[in-house]
Amino acid sequence: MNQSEPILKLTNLCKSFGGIRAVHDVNMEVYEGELRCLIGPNGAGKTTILNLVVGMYPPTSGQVLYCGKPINNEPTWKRMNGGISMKLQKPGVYGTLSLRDNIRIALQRHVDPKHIDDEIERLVKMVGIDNIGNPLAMNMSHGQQQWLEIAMSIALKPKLLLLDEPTAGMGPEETAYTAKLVKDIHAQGITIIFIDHDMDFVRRIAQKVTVLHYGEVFAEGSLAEIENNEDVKLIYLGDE
Amino acid sequence: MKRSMTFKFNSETIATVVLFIFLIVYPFVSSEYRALNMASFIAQMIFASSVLLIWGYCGIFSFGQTIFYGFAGYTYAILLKNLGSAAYTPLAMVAGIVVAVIVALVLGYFMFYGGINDMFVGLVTMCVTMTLNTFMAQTANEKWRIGSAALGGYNGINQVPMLTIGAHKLSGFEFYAFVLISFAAIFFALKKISTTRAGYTMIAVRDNRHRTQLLGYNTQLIQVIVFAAGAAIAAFAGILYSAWGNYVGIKMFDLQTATIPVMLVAAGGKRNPAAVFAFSLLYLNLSQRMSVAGNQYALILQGLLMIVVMLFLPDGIFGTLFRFLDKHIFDKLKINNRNRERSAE
Repeated sequence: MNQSEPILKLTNLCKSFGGIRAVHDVNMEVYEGELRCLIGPNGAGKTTILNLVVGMYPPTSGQVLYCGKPINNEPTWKRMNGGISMKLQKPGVYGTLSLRDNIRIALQRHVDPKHIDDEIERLVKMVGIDNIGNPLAMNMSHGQQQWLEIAMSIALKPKLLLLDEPTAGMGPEETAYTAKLVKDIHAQGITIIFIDHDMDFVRRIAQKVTVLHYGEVFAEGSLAEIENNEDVKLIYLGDE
Repeated sequence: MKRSMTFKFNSETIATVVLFIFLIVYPFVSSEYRALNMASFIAQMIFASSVLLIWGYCGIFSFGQTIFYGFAGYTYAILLKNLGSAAYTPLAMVAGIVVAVIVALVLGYFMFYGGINDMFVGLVTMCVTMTLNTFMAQTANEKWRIGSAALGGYNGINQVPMLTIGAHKLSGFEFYAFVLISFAAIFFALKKISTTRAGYTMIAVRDNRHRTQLLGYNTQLIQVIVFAAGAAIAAFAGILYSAWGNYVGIKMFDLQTATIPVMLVAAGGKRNPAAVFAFSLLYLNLSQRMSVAGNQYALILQGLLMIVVMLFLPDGIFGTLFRFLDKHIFDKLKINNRNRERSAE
């Protein structure tokens, strides 16, 4: 891929559900190695944009370009095999399977069976859930499930990782740990786009911020620029 | 650690051992007639295993395994009638399975790539079953024939040859042995597959299809393949039924026949092969005895079981029983043993 080309480019992207306009005329470029945050009020279209990138549903109009290639017509599984990975807003783990079996499913297509147990242990340790035994995923805490899902997402060795509210339901300690985890993942060269409402978490890690409002890009810039933007304060950040 | 196929000391293992001891010993302590009767039950258990594979393992709820059961049975009968010799039964068996698999691939393609999932698969397959049943019912006219085999409408096709290997017809006990060995092979294949990559993949599709797509799996292709594998097993069961009864008829396509394997799997415990087959053996025996008094009693039993299971026992009757026994007996025994070993050290 040409270094001057964005890894992800959204061009005039629109998505409507019946009469409801969820995303409207979004233009966005994310470059390789970025740690981008999408913020905005509930219903602004943040999750819809990530779902359009992974192909959960097709856009009403506009294009999604990944590594310079339009992927509108590619099914989800093909996009994932091309280097995109996603952690869902609500933990998408296999509840009836154990922690390690969850990661096994993520790894088994890419890792030699001889090495898979070692790779599972590496990922479990990396996300910090190596000290809880091997419980069924449905018996893990919400935060542990979030970390498990992150482990499953990075098991695919993606180029582009999408994290939808990785700290949702977490306390301050867990949030701080997640911030460190995301930074460690980013340090491996993975481009990350994340959505979160916790501005403390955003401040810890975001390099660039895109603000969405009513399905449109409202503002974009560095964290400092966004935090000083009066209009953004009005619609989302509030007065401090 | 990956799940292994080694048998643990629990209720499932005990049920498996008891089931196979019973089935192996049975022909030695019964008449040829009763052995043939039991063979028909085992064929029904093979039929149920097709639903266990696609539903229990992969989450595909189909009310249409009779499509493949019937297609295979009729293909077997029609081919043998045309070839005119029982020596061709292995060929006819393969052909019956191939035809069923092709039908499954076509139907599966349109369903899964068309976005049909969950209960809608049940609805679509039920509609196909009913359509086939209605179509076959009106094939009594002589014009409805394939080569020298008249389809026969409600009368079906009679004098379907028994299974023959070379020049040797498989008689009562031999047929029983053939069916039992086939069932054992399928049972242990199902047990084994749950510990393999394919097994994990199916479970992933069953438990969270969206997450599985996000891990790069082509879930629609997986569903089509599993659906076709289930069709092959149902087809084999259909051929066994045809060979056993020397007959095929439209009952192979009817809704009651479609319901039975689904009910056996649901009421047995769809995530536990031993639970399903142990329950199936008991139910089929009981159902047959009740049918002597009147077919409606067996139907009432079937309906009641479905209601009880759906409302109160989602893990099935035997599945729930096994879990209870494991929790209150076998797991406690294991803990006691472990404590004793630790104190000895």
